[in-house]
Amino acid sequence: MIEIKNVTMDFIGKAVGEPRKILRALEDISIRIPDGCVYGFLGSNGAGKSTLMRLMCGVYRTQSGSITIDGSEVWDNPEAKANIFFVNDETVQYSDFTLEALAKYFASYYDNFSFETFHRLIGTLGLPNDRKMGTFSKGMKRQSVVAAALSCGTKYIVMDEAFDGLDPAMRKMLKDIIVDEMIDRNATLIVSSHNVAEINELCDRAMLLHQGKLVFDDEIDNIRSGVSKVQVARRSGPVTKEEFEGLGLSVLQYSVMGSVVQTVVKGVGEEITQKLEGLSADFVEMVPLTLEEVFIYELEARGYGYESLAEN
Amino acid sequence: MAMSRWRRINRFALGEARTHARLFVVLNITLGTGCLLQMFQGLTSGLYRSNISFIGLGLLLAGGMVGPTVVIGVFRELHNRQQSDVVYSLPMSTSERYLSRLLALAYLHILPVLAWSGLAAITTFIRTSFFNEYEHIRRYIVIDWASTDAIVRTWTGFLACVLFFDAIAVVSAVCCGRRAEIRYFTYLIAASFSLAPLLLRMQLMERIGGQVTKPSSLFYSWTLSLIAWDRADSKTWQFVLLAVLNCLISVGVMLLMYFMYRRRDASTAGKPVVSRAFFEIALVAGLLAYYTLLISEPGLIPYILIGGVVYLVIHIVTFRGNLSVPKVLLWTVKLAATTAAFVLLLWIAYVTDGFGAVRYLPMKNLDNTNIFIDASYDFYDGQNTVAFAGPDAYYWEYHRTDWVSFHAQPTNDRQIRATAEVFQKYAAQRDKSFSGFLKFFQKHEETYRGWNRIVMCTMEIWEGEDHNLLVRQEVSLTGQQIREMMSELKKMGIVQIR
Repeated sequence: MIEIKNVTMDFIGKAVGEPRKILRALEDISIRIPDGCVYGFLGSNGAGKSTLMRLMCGVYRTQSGSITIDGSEVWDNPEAKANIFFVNDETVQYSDFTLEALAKYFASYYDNFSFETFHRLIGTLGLPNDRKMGTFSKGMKRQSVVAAALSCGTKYIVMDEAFDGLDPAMRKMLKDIIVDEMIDRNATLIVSSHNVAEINELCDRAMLLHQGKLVFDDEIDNIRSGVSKVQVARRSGPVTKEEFEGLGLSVLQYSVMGSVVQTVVKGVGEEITQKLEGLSADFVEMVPLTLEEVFIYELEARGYGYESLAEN
Repeated sequence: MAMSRWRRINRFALGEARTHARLFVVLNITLGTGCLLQMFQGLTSGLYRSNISFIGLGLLLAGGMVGPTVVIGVFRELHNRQQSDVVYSLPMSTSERYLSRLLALAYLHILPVLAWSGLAAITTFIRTSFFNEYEHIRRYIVIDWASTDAIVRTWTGFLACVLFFDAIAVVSAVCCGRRAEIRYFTYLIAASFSLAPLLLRMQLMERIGGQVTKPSSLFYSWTLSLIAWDRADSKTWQFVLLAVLNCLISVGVMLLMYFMYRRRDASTAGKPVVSRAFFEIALVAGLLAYYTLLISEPGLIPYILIGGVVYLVIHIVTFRGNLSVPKVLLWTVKLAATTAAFVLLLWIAYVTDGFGAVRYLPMKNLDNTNIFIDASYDFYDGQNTVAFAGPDAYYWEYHRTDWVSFHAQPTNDRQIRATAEVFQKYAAQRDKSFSGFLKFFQKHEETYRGWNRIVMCTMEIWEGEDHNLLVRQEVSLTGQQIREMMSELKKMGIVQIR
């Protein structure tokens, strides 16, 4: 299990000629990533997803709090790092490698590297073994790195926006290969993406970061059922936002069209229905939300979205 | 445990070195060609021609000096964000990662340089010792020890310089986060660290203090200035010892940089300069070396402006915020303060006669010592007929109307010190005002026109006619002062005035 406890990360201008201001990238983040799951990192641009992934892989030093892999602190700990592989959002660093050289490179660092798995995967993907990766398409480079990652035999693979920029067919193929390999080994995949539908489809659990703070962290089903869209109609006049809040509901979004009110509130369906009985409304309808809608409403509630921009 | 750790580091180093295979091949072709040219020098040009292939040695030198390129490649996680993501996430501890980088540097650069230059040295030794003397081979084997000395000096000196350059490149790599900064700071530091101590000593002690002694070997113990030691009056074993010390210090510096390396993580990659102390030290050392070089010739002093411009440009290039007038003004003030500090240092050296260097005489018995005195006179002074002679009449007169040189031979340590005291007394009488200070730097090179000078050399007599210079003292005085000084020496029986 990967355990992140009270992690705060500040980027401080320490280098020469750098303004000495502090940029807080992460603030008091605590999550647990259980073994054997596919975990999704969601967040707005610049929310801190990549920073958190780098901290988890020992690329950045933890400033406060702790990050442990199976109980061992990850920073400067080769034993802990031998269990995790980081696929970052770029592939340009491998341009000078042929696939054979790439395999040898990782094999010299990871004791469990399997050439058999690597050759099987690149055979499946139809990747040329003797060409430099600099001549590959973006999709081929991604596939190559993913093949290397899966061949290292680590218990955890962290992928930062690994599928971004790939066509739908390529995404599906890559996801299928990853999931098959991970299931076979009961390994854990941690993936970040801007494509919420993809996280919804791929992951068992997810968390949402916004401006360095954790918004939620739960199983996907719980996340979706924890927020509901409600349509309420009342002849005597629309239900106000204050009335919803007076019932103890946390309102993320509220809009009125005549006497019909559409609102997004936090809470489980039955609990909300019970509370809404006190409104003496003529019509109440609960509409299920997708993860993407949850993402949008949660961020809008925190001032991130087109309406907030327009207001400002 | 230690063995398995060493195996891990070696495995990581080989893994890293494999990723630079192309550089390794190019480097070995360059070094190998240089070695072959040197090895077979003479076969094409004739056995009795030069023993040195300049193209061959040039190629070996070029291969030796690509250290910064290799260091930049090996320490790529420090300046490339994408690489740092990969390298820092690999299962290595910081110390393993650092040592594997140094080992990769050894595999890619240091060992090939050592091997090819060593092969060139050995084959040159064999060729110059045997085949160039092939007439003698029929009778007996002659080893040309003079050539051997030169080969050993050249080889060890070359290796010391290569390691010094690599060490400075490692220092720059660990303290900078961008490729360009690593490269130009390496050249800046290597040049200024090599030049500044020697040039400063030359200006402050020798020129201002008027005292020339052989610099301590400490001045050559860890810089490219080791090459200068080769020209000094050193024995081969002394040179080799110093070269080995130089190499050891370079290796020590590389290992010590671990303590800076371990403070970094991937967040510093891509930032021009990571260590503020490194930045300031490098620039101050650069300015010191440059200014000291310029003041040696009054005509060069206006070029101080170029140093100032480079100083500001480096600040602008490394600055990552928005440029503003106050920022540039601040850097200009810093530059002015550094320049003022340098002038102050010169001024202090001037008023203290080279920090008291003028009073220097070795703390040992000087009975077996001679003094040679040269007096240069103002051409227009009208006193150009004066000549001096030592008490034993053992003197030279060069028949120049404006210059006499003679050899005084006091009999014992007491007389030598008494002579030196007179010299020092007059040396301390020079104009200590600020205008005198400025005049000193304006007129230094005009020794033979409108300037009077006395040079006194204290020479230790070795076996036969071999002399060892202990102190060379030089002072510029007025014609009147020179005449007074000579009268005083005459009264003491040190010199005679004809």
